[in-house]
Amino acid sequence: MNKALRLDPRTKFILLLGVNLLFLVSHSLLVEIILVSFSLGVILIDRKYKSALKYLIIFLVLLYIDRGLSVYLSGFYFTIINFIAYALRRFLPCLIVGKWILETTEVSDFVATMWKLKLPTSVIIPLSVVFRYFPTIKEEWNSIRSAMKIRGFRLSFEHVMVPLLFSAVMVSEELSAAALCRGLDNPGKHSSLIEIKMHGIDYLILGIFLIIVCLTCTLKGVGVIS
Amino acid sequence: MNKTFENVKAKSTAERNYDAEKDYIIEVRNLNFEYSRSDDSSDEDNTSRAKELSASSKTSKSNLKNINLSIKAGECIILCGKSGCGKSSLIRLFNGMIPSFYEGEISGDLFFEKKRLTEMSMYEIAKGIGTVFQNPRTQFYTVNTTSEIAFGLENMGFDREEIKRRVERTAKDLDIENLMNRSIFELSGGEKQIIAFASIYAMNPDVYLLDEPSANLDFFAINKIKRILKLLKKAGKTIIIAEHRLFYLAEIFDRAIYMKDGEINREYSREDLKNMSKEEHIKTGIRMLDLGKVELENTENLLNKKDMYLTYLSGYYGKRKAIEIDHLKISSGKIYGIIGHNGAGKSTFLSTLSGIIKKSDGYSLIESNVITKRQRLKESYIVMQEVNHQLFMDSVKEEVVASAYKRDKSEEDFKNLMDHLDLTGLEDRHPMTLSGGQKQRVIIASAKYSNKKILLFDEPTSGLDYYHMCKTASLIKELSKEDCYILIVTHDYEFIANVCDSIIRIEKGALKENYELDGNGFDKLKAFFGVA
Repeated sequence: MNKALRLDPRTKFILLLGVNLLFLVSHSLLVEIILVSFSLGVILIDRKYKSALKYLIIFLVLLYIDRGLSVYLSGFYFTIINFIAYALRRFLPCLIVGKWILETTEVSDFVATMWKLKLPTSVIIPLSVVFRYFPTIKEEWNSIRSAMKIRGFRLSFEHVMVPLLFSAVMVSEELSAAALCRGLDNPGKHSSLIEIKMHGIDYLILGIFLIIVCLTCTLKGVGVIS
Repeated sequence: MNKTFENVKAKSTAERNYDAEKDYIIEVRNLNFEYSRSDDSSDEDNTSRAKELSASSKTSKSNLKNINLSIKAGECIILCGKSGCGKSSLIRLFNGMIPSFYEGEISGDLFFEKKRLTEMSMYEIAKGIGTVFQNPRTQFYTVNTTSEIAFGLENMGFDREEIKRRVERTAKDLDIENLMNRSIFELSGGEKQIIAFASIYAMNPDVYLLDEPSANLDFFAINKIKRILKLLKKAGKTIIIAEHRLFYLAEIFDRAIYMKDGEINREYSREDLKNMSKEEHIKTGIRMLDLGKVELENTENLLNKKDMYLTYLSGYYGKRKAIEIDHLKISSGKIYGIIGHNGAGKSTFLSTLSGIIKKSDGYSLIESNVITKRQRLKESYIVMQEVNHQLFMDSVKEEVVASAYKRDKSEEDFKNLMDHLDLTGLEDRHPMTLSGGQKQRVIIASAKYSNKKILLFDEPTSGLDYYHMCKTASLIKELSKEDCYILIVTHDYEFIANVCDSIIRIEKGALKENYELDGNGFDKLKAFFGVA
């Protein structure tokens, strides 16, 4: 069971928030490279070697389009492509961390953390239903795709959205009902089977991240980077 | 108040007296409930349609009228009646979803262990009353079996050690140690439903509410559910179960409450249900209690038949061969029932035959012409279990007419088709606002409109009462008169006996046997389903 690293969900969310803010603070390539390396480092610790390699290649390709190809190419279309590549690259650290959180956080951990943070029920219930719905989408999607194929419909936004939205409404309603019937709305103490606790590794990763933040702010303050 | 059951309209139909001294765990007196409607004051087309849609998304909404019911601790009560009779509403009332989750106008009294249930919050109710829902797909709050079983206990704030102890005990009692700590997406429908039971069992409530727990399950999974129910009954738990299929409850239930139009219409004892005539089954929608009494009713068409031959037809999931049929002859006009254990490859067979599967191999011929996978895709249609995934358009008419494979059809043809399928008058409705049976018919209509010849059904009668099951059966019989190849994947024994002419049994990704459903074949079928 403990084959993968179990970071405290709080650590994960601090990282997600931090990475997002940091990329708003600075436009410098240096900070970007540090952030990408950091997020790749995190998922490497979590033994996601394949996705780490994938992200690394994506990052290098996007970087090459911006810094390498733009020397030779110009024109309207390339500007658009370059812009998209640039935006994607800027967002990459957030994407890496976000996807990693979705993949590795159990809904129950997530809910337990929210109770621990003493968030109000009105926040916890809808958020956890949304969180739970993501893995269901894939199942629904496959089934809808088969139905479209048999009708000979091409993949189109409208054809997918109508059944998907309906199933979203239905599934979320039934999910909430099932959860409420097992006492999710209990205002008192909630416990958890799996202990939610900050471990050494949490502090280590947060520490490294703090250093990156300080470094960035100092460098920006001094005016070394933009 | 020693009358356990009374009904103003039909007082004489059934009155039974219980020991007045006995404590009732649940008591309902003169209860009425009406779902609050979104007010439709604005007559703008868009908003009213949106409201219509949002109203329909809240699955079934039958109001309750004048409910009087007393339930003793340790009793097992079946709530039965046709779809929309209000049995789900009654379940929602008992678990507190009415009025906490579904709002509306409520009057009358409802007591649980002498306390007013309507004044308790849902988490208080959850301690004493647990609910297992119909759809195994959507009642999991977490995605891991162990944390799912722990979920209710976590909400109650038990210590970690206590949660661990209870989860382990639940796994042992229900014999599901092999299912622990798995992703719920790897489980079959039956396994999911058992985990749903387990998550309630761990909380150890006094009352178990079950809302059609067998609707999406196969015969074998139902037997496992039956075992769990026996265990609960032995432990003295009160069980209230809304259900169409009764055969698996025969040894467990004490009495059956029949509901109609939101009212309790009458009460049936085991004897009453055993001696019920076929007409009464159709009238009440109650399924057979004793499957041994089910009779063959198939009537094969002897019209000009064409044959389709499949040779070494195989379908792959990724690189794994999920199904291979070495030789099979399918005749038009005949209705084939496809049976087999869970995960045997029945649904994969349908997607292979219809050509929607990505990788497939082998040959298929109609008469003596080879037909390719692409042609099969053009000719075939699957009516899936989840009808909502198959409706894409804004109106019934568009839904029926829209298809990439258009054939020459006139307005007249369309009208006839709608008439034939009992859909006249619904042309402009949004398909999502229709009832389950109507949705199914719209999908069949669109298949017929595009002249599809291979009609495949995946569990068309799951969750249907006897009346609607018979309707679906006669509709499929009607379709079989028109030179179509009809194959149905089903676990519904009563339905098979009613409609199928031939049985295709698939096990472990291969054709196990193929037999005609005559006297001999019927014995084989009985043996497969374990019907005495």
